[in-house]
Amino acid sequence: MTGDLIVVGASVATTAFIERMRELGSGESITVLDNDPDAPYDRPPLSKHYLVDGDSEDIAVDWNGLDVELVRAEAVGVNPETHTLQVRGDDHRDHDLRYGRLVIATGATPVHLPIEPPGLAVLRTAADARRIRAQASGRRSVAIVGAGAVGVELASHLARQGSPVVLIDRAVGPLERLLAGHLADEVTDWLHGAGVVCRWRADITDISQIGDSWRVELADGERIEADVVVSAVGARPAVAWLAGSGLLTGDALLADADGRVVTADSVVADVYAMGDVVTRRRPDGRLERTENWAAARQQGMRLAEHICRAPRQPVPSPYFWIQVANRTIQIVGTLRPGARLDLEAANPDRRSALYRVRADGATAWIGVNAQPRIAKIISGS
Amino acid sequence: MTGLSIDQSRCQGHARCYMLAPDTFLIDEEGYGHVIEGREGAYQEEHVRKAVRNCPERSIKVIAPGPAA
Repeated sequence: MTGDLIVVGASVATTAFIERMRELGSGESITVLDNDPDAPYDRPPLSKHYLVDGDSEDIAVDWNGLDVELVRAEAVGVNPETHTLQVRGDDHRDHDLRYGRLVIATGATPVHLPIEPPGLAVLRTAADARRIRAQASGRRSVAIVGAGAVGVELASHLARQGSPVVLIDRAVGPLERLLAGHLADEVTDWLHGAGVVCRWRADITDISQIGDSWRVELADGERIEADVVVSAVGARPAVAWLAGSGLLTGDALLADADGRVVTADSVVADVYAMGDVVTRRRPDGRLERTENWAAARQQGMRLAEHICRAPRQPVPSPYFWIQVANRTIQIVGTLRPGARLDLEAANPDRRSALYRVRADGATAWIGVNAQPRIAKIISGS
Repeated sequence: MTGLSIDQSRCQGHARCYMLAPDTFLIDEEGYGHVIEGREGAYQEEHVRKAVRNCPERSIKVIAPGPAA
């Protein structure tokens, strides 16, 4: 093997990957490239307590003892034939770096609506979270476009801070993709209770800046004025830097279950990918992506096991959680639209509920403030 | 106080600490994690460090002892 193992991106998957490499006894030298000055850090707190009052300790991930070299630089291209990475350093000059193995973990990048003007806030990085915190401080009003996990958590936390918040989505309810259409009325009620004004089935026709504030216009004629507008309509894999490398299939970076990058006809030698950047092909041929902490960690560990030729740990059930209006919603397993939802247990005093979701013989769970039950389900006890 | 502690305002009950280091963390009946009494000093053990890194809310705090005053 000539050259190092280089990881592009100090992501959630990267931490899990390095941890597992060292655990499995690998002494291989590992270099991580990332030009985010806050890296490495964890993302789940960014739309929660870090957004409101957190400092760097609330997100920092401790790499001490993992023997990693972290380099502040951006990868701008790769040539898999020659095992060469093009890297742009702090000085904005490009140079080539030879790799033995390359792991791509550049995560995802926010998408924008075609009608979005420049200047809207987004939330992906720690710096983004601090920017939103500063812009919304002093109870300034916020309009959030997109009621996915990020939008709903932002709305909940900013409203709790005292900001008037309007949450806008074209879907019929919040968290439509994550909850597969379940519990839309309940989540809407909780958001209302937290002081968030919700606008569902809303088509945005224009977003414009008027002086120091913003105006969001909806197709039904409503005009929403806000000091800050946050775009939270989703994210797509950060693969633009791989254009022309031959690694992309269409516009997707495909990897197999072990994390090896694959193209239409082959496995690419010595190139791997993990985390939000990855697209996978399911057995039925459809493409799927996961954008969550638990999946990113699982992929990082699995890749380390592949590289170290170690036994693979079983893949745990998908797990995701969000905080909405002082409630924690946890989802274990895969939710499908139209599945049967049964209330297994409820405790109104604790505002807790546990739902069993059944479809096609598979069971998934949704817990609302039901951490003890979910903990038992996750740990299989 | 030095050693391990869990910030209860941050803990969301993901139970990862308990799964990775059941000798050091427990889950209470509300679902939140706690450091088992007498295990506050175990923060240098590798499986405990892994549990600390595995908390998605970063709610496990480690305060290492400073130099002797």
